[in-house]
Amino acid sequence: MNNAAGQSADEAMRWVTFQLENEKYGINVMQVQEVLRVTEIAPVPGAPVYVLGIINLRGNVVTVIDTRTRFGLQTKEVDDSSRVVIIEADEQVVGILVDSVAEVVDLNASEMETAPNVGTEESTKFIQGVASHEGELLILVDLNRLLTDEEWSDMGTF
Amino acid sequence: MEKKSQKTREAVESRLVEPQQALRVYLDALLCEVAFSDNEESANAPLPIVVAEPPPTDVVVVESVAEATVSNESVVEVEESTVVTQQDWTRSAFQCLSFQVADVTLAAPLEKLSGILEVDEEPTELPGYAPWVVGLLPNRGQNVQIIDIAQIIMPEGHSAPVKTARERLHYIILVGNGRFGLVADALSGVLNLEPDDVRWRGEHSKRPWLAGTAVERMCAVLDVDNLCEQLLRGLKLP
Repeated sequence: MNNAAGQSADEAMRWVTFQLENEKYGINVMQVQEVLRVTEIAPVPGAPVYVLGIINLRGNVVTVIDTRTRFGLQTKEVDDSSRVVIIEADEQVVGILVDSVAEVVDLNASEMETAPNVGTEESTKFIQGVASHEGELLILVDLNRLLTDEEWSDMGTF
Repeated sequence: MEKKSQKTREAVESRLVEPQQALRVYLDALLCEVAFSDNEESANAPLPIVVAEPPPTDVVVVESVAEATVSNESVVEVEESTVVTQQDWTRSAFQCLSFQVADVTLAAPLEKLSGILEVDEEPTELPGYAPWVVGLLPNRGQNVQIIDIAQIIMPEGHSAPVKTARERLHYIILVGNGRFGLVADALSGVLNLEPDDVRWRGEHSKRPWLAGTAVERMCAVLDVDNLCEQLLRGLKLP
């Protein structure tokens, strides 16, 4: 299930980086399908707080997750730089709303450091590690663990 | 003994205190509690071996000692790899760095510290972590996990300090081979303590971070090894 961590030790991996609040995050490029400008997102009544709603992506219904809410950050108005990143995780296609998408970076396994295991609950262990990139820390997110198994299986029902 | 500590607790609860006083009251209660349970623990208490007392020192020494321990990383590593023996440093006179956290004075044995860092940049915040994990800060090739010790030592039911850890972030005290940094509001100086000055806590303490309390100095002595071990294992604190 954990694709990213299953790669061989010295292999370079490619990460798409995005910004949320003041921090930069990286997600495995292999899991990114496309990056969209924010279009109309139809809210879904009764959905969990981290579900913004659904969008119509060329005829397919895709659930959009509010990444800020999921990460425990304050929500922010959608603006010109906001993007929905369409990702594939846990065999599902969902969109994640981010403040902006920055770039694609290559990181060697040796540049990555596993995330501290202090003060996390099993359910919120979606941070796979951190890496120094151009003088700042990049937080590497394990998309498969962005939601718990149960939450992933609920995703398809909206 | 239980009755007395019960009384203390009730006394604490019945007193309405300002948030900034809450911790002081807590510490007072803590001191009393240790004092009452002292009898059964005195058998296990380390023997007071009299050692020539180190010369009086002041804050200037803190930095030099701290730096020395940082540059001496290989030594610290050896120390880490061996099994932590039961509180060797408590058996003879020892020096502590005392520092303020909220309104409480904490003391950490100098030999357990890896350095002091003056923080002038924002740490990288990690989402999904407990509120007492302030974030990561790169230092000497490793990412220091900044821990808001105030929230760990806080008794249950008391809210966090009025100011967030980020607002209070000026100094961090590096422990656990520089892996963790404890947020200190202010550094007070070096304390010379004899084993007899401290009321040591037993092994089955509810507060793994507390080695004991130096009653006369009104400060809590941190059990740095135990604290780091808890942090390393990722155990939930408090």
